[in-house]
Amino acid sequence: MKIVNQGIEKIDAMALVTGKPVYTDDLAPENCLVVKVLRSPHAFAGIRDIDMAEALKIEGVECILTYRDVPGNRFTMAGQSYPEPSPYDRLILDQMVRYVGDPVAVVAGITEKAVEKALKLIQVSYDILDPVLDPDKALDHKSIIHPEADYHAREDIGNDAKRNLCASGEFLSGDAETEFSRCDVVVDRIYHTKANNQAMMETHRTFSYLDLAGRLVLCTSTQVPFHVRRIAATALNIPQSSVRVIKPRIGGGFGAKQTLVSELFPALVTLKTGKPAKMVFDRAESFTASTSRHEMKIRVRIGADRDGHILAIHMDTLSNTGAYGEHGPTTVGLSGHKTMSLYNMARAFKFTYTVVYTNTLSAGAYRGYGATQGTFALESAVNELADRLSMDPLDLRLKNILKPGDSVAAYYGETIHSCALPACIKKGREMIGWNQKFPFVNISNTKVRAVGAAIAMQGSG
Amino acid sequence: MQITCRINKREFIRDIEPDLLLIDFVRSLGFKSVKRGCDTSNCGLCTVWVDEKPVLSCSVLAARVNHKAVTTLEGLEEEAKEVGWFLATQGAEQCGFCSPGLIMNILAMKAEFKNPTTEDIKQYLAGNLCRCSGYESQLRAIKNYFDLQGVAHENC
Ligand code: FES
Ligand code: FES
Repeated sequence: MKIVNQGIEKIDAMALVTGKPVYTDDLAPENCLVVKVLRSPHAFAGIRDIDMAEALKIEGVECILTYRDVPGNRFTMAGQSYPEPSPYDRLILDQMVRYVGDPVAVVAGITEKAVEKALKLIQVSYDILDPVLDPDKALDHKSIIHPEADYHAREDIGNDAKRNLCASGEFLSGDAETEFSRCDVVVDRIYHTKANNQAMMETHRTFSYLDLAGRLVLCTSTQVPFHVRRIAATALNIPQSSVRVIKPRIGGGFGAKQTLVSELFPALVTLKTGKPAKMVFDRAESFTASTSRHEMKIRVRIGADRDGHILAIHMDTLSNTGAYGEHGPTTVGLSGHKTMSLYNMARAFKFTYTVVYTNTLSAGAYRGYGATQGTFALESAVNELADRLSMDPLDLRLKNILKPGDSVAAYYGETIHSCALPACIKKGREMIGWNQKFPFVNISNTKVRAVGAAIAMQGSG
Repeated sequence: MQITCRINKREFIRDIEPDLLLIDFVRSLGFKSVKRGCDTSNCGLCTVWVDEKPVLSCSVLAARVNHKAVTTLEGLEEEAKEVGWFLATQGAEQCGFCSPGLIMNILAMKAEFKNPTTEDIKQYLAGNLCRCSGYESQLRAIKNYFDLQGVAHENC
């Protein structure tokens, strides 16, 4: 085995460790216009008027662009393949702002100082609207976050924007309610996971210029250059052949860069002015005006007979996609399909989901892509079930997990060809000293040290 | 205002704005190894040396280095390759964005410690955040690096 089990050095290792200029901001031309964005201080508002007379007087300010200066094509910034499941619910700049941080105006200038001064001098008057902040109250709220007539979904995702419903659906296999009625024990719990930030070390950044053929070149810190090209073309209303995307080495992404974030602002400036432009998000902006993990509230019902045979699982996920639907219709699916599938011995599965808009930061992609939230919920419920059955939680899992050759009901009926989960569970049990430590050992009069378990799966080729 | 300083042994005389930060100053002169991760003096990515002492260049005014010597990773190419090789063989330079700042501090630690323990290493590098590695690979690499420097470090 010359290759397998041997370390290999990455081809760019030495460039990285000697600090060579390989990242987006290291490559930007010196004469780029500095681009920054004025952001909404309101969670939900209509823009009545933008007065930029004073701001435009600042020396070094090149342009200030507002909703009047952008194409009217709605689009999604989610980096996803045809037919793009996320709804077309955005403009680069819109007359309606839908979360604290939504862009109101793009300012470009020769120096950062000039741009910052101009940002302070722009006067915006808003018609403040009643925001929807609680995902539990979003559906059929009297405030409609996306009332626009040209809003549309590209495929059937169970969408109804008038109800603040980004997506919904259900999956059934077997007769869950009948199986629940046969169970000796049913656990029924709601688990709530919060929005998190991916927090890669390199914040979002992009520079743009026109090349010798007049093509718009976007050099950007992204995980999805091919999608950036198509989305930028749609958003800017130019042909894809007029856009070239360069993705240099990136300083981490973790899903944050699976959505367009900084790209379109400098792109717009370059198209308007013909000049190179650059936007670098600061850390605060990366937290408040990018995309997060979807906050989810997941109700799990799981039932078993008294010997620990799981008969039925029902997961009902409420996912908060925030102000825009980036990855909303797709992440939610993994909260059920990538979790229940592990318990393939169950006779019935039910998965229902609702993805709602709220006036909060748009959610997006983040490692695990929805499976993370679902795993926390279902695995917690399985542990509670073990407790109710007075069974060891590892034994309960070994009794119910999928086996090679199974057709996996909750995973689109696909056949699983290999699975080493029982061996993993056994090895994990041994390594952590489970049998000596479960459920806990007293380490003093006031403290115990406990062990717990969870299993998870990920898809692969 | 005008300042005179040496960066990586080369002299620079420049007119600067009084509020210019050291990180933006050195980057504008082409020393792009210096990275900004947080802009709140929390991440260590912007570490450079001023008169051989590590500082966070995002939190130091360029004016402060007047008549001083600044070192960035570009000025330590050979040392960076050496430390970097240990990081690379442990897969500790994943996105690599944190590597220059980390290496600046590893080299500073080497100048201060003959015999760093695991605790010393952890403490010295507590201000160097990395989002990719989980730190275990970095710790292995750093221990290997010190071991092979002929420095007997105690395993604890
Ligand atoms: S950028 Fe200086 S400490 Fe993070
Ligand atoms: S390797 Fe990516 S942040 Fe450290």
